Amino acid sequence: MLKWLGKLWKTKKRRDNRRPQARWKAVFDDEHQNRPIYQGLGAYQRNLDFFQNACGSSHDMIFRRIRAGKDEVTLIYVDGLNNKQLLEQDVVAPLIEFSGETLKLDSVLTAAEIKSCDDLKQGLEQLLNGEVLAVCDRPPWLWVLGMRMPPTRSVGETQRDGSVFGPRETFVESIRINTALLRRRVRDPNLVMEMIPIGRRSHTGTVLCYIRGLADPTIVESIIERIKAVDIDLLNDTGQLEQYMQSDILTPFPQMEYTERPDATARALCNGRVAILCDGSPNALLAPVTFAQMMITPDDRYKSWGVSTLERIVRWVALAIACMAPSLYVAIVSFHPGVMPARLELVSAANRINIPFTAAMEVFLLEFAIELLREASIRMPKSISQTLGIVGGIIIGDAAIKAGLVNPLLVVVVGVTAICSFALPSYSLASAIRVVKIFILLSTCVLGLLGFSLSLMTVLAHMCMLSSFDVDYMQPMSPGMGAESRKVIWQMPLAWNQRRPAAYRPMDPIQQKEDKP
Amino acid sequence: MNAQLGQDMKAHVAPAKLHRLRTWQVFVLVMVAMLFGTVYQSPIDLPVATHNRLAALGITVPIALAEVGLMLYIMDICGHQSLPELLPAVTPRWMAAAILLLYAVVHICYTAMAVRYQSEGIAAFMLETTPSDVIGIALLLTATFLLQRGIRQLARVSELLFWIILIPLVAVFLTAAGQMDKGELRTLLTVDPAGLFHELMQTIPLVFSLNYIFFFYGASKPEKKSRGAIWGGVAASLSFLIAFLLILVGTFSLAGIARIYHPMGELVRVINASPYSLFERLDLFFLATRTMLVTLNLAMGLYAACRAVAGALGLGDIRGLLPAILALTFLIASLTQQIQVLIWVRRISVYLQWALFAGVVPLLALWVRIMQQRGRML
Repeated sequence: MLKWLGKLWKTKKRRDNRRPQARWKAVFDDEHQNRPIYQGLGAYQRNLDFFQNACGSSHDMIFRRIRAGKDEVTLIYVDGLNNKQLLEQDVVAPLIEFSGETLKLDSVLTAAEIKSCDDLKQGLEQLLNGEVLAVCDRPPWLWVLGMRMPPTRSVGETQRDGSVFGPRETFVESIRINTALLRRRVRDPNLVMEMIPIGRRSHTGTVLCYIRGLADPTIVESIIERIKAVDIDLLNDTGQLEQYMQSDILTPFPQMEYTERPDATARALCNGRVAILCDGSPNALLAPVTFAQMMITPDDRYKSWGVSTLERIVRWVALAIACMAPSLYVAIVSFHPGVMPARLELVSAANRINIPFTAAMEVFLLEFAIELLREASIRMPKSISQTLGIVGGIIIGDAAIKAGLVNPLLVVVVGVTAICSFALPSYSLASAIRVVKIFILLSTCVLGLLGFSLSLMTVLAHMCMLSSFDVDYMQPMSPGMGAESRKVIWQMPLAWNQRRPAAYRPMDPIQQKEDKP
Repeated sequence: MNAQLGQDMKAHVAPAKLHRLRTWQVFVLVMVAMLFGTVYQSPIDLPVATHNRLAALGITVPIALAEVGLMLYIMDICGHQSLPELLPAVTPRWMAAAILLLYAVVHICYTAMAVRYQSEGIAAFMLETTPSDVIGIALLLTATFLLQRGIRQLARVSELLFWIILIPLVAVFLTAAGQMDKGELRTLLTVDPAGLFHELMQTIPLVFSLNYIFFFYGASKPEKKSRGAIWGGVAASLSFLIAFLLILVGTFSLAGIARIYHPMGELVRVINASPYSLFERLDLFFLATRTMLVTLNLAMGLYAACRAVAGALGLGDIRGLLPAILALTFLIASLTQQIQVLIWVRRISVYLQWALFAGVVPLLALWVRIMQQRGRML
C-alpha cells in the first residue's frame, strides 16, 4: 500500500514538473476582456502591480517612481520606443519641481498629448505602442502621455517604383510619418484615416484612408468588413493583409495595388479609391484596382500626353512579349518551322544542329536560369551583386552558347522577355505574368500554336472572372466603357481630363473643369 | 461603422451591379457567332459562290432576318425573355419541352460538326501528328471553361478578342480585294433553278448562328439598343460574308474554289507571293485566330444546347448539364469521323433547323397574337 502511494506521489511530481510554471503562463489569455482600473484605497499599488505582473519581467520595461510634492507618480515606459529628451524635459522635470498640494497631471505637464485612461488593458496597449503611462496615487489614477518615437528610418528615395519625373520620396515603416506624408499632399478635410488594429499579438495599427464624399461607400464598407475579418497572430506587412483580403485567393493576379509612393497614393485617393497603411510596412495597399490601372505609372501625369501615350504602348507591347515570346519560339521552332522565312529558318536550323535539347527543354532551362539570377540578386549583398550579375548573365550565358548547350537566338528571346517583364510598372503584376507565361509555355509544348491560342483564351477568361472589391478586373476594356477604354492606351492631355475613372464609381465623377482650346 | 460613412451610404445609392449584357457585347456576340465561324468554314459547308448557292443565299438571308426580327418582337412583348423562358409561358409544357429539345439536338449536332471540321483542319495544317480527337477534346474543354460563369463571361472574352481578330481579317480583305479579277464576278449572274432547292438546304448552316440570339437575348439589357446591336451585328456579318464570297470568286474563279480546302489560308498565301517575305506562312496564324473564333462559337453552341435542355426539363442552372452535353457533343464529333455519320448528322441539323425556321417561329407568332387578342397577354 505504501509503495503504491509512493509511486503515485512520484507520478504526480513528474506531472507537476511538466506543467508550465507560473511565470511561463500568458497573463492575458482572453484578449477581448477589459480590465477597469482599480479605484479607492490601495488603488495605486494595485494598479502598479497589474503592470508589474503584465510586463515587469522584461528588461526594457522601465518603472520610474517620482515624488511630486506630497504625491507619488510612477512613470512606466518601454525603453527605446519614446522620446527620452522630451520625457525628461516635459514630464520628469515638471514633476520633480512640483511643490503644490494636489497634483493634476494635465495642469502640471507640458506634454502635447495627455489624457486619462480608465481601463488597464487599454493602458497596457498604449504602453506597448510606445506611449508613457503615469500611474498616480490619486484620481485620475492612470494617464497616457503621447511621447511615442519608435525607431524608424528617414524618408528616402523609392527603390521599386522608380521614376524620371515626379517626387522621389517614399513611405517608411512608421505609420505616423506615412499618414503625415499623405496629409501633406491631400489637405482635404474630408480625408478620413480610420485606425483598425490587426493581429492578436501584434495589434498592428492599420489605417484605412479614403476621401469621404468621393469614395464609393459600398466599396469602403466592403474593405472595412474584410479588414475586420482578418484574424492572425502577427501582421508585419501589407502583403499579408492583401492575401487575407482578396476575393480570389487562387489567382496569381493581384487584386490590390502596391505602392511605396505617397504621390501615387494621393492620386489614388483623389480617384475615389481606398488606401491601406500598415505600421511597420513601407508599402501602401490601394483598392480597388483594375488590370489597366496596373499598367499606368504616376509619371504618366507628369509628362506630355504624347510621350506618356508612347510609353504606355511600349508597356503593353512589353506585356505581350513577356507573356508570349518564349511560347511563340517553341511553337515556331518545334511545331511550325515553316512559318519562318526560309533564310531565317536556315539560320535557326544551323544554330540548333548541335544542341542536344529540344526547343522546349532549352526554354525551360534558360527560364530557370533567369529565375535563379532573379532570386539570387535579391539576396546578394549589394557590393557583389553587380559583379555576379555580369558573371551570371554574360559569362555563363556566353559559355553556354559556346558549349553548345543553348541556341543564341533563344538567349536573345529569353533575355528580351526578362527585360520586358522588368518594364512593367507593377512588380506584383510582373510576378503574375511569370506564372501565366509558364502556363502558356506548357500548353504550347503540348499542342503548339493551338495550345498557345487556347491557353491565351483561358487566361483571358480567367481574368474576366476576377473582381477587386466588386469592381470588374478588366474594366474599362471589358465590359467596354466607351471613352474610358481609350484612356487605357491614350494619356489624355490633363486639361481635357475632366472625369475621374468611372470603374471605381466615385461619388463625384468630375475632377476638374474641362478646358479644351 | 463610421457614422458619417453610414450617412453617405444612405445618400448615395451605388449603381446596381450590371448582370446583363451590354449593347456592345451583344453586337460582338452576334458578329462572332455568325461571321467568323461561317467565313472560315471547311469545304463541306464552304460558302462556295456557285450561281445557285448565291441565289439560295439571297433567299435564305431575308428569311433568316425576318425570323430574327419576328422572334425579337415576340421575346420583347413577352417581357424581354429568351426562348427557353418564353415557350413554357405561351405554349403547353409538353410542346415547349419538345421544341426546346429539338433546338438542343440541332445545336449539339451543329457544335459537333464544328468540332469535327476544326479539329480536321488543325490536324491537316497545324498539327499533323496529333490525333484529331485530342484536338477536339482541347477545343471543347476550353469552350467549357469559357462558360463557367455563363454568357456574360463569354461576352467579355469576345469583347477582348474582337479587335485582335477583326483587324487582320479586314487587312486581308482589303489586300486581297486589290488582286481579284472582276471579270470572274460576271459568272455569278446566271441562275439555274433546277438545283436551287438543294442549295437552299446547303446554305442554311451559314445563317444558323442567328439561333444563338434566341438563347442569350434574355441576358441582355431590355432596351432598343440591344436590338439595334443585334441588327448591326447581323448586317455587318452578312456584309463580311458577301464580301468574302465575292473576293473568293474574283481571286480563284468558280472552278478554282472547288479545289480549295482552307479558303482563308489560300487567300493569305496569294497575298504573300514573295517566298522570302517575313510573313510567308501567315495562314497558320490565321488558323490560330480561327481557332479562337471557333472556340467562342463552340461555347455559344454548348450554352444554347444547355439552355434548351434546361428549359425543357425546367432546370434553373445550366452548369449541371454541361458535362453531359459536352460528352454527348464529343461523342457525336468522334462518330462523324465516318463520312456516313457526318452526312446524317448534317442532315438532322439542317432539316430540323428548317422545320424550326419554317414551322415554330411563324406558329409562335400567330399564337402570341391570338393570346393578345383574347386579352390573355403575358
